[in-house]
Amino acid sequence: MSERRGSRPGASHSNRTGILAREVLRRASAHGEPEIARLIDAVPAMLAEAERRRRVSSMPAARISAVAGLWLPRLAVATVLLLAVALLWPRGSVSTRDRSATVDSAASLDAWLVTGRAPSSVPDPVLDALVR
Amino acid sequence: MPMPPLDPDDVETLKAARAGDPEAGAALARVHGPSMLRTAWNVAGRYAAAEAEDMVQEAFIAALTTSALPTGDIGAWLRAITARKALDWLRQEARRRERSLPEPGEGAPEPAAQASAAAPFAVIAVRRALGKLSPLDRAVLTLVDLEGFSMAEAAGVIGSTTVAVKWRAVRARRRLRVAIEGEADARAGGSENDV
Repeated sequence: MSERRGSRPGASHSNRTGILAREVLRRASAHGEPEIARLIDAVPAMLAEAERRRRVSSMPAARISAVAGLWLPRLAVATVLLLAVALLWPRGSVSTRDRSATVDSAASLDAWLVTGRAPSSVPDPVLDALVR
Repeated sequence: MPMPPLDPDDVETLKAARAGDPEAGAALARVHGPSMLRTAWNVAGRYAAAEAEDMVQEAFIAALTTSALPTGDIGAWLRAITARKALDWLRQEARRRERSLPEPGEGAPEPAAQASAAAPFAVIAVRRALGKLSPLDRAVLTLVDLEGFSMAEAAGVIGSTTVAVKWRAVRARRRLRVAIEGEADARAGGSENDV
């Protein structure tokens, strides 16, 4: 099981510290012969399952699903970012405009109530019509 | 890392098995099955358990399904797939266990308890020591220390980063040494009590 190990030239420090682990793993699995009769019996079923999976993976739906699996998370992230920008950016400017309009309207109404006369710079046409 | 040359016969056998030749599939299982089962045992920490056969079967199916060919030793390639499938199997088993909480006394016994009673004490001791590591620790040690994979190759197999695998290997070796020393101490203590 250690063909690759034997092919490695030069033992690095990590290799030396791994000697214990290698010996432990080797001893732990060395005792007892693996039973492969059932594995060999299962070969036709494994071949059939591999063939089935190959067929499924080559189907258009599987390809679409694979592409979707790759792109949907990215699209979701892009959507969240765009949504965040859409929610944060315009709200600031709109709210400022709304707030100033509300303040102007309130001031105009106050002026009309107090003085009984319409201020000259009433920006609200409805209030303007009402005042006049 | 220099790799052993690819055995053309093995590659032809693999291609024939992918084409549906049962004889080729059986030949692969006969030649590489035992070492794949040992890999599954080591990663799962369960020796002589039937689950290892499921893991190896999944590894064989994956090797037969992909169109990729191994670039080095086909046996090491199959064992690497086995290690990954063993980890997948263990993760799925953990999820199954979370979903269905077992009654007290039910469920799979701990890996150490599954050590074959017929195995010599030294073997039981090393199995018990390995049972104290996590499956990922055992997979990293199996791939790096037993199979001779580089850290980067092992990282590719288990789906992690090279740095993470390096750290895990260092920690796992340290834990294993401590566990082995603990087993040796317990054995020495037991011997003294016997006398």
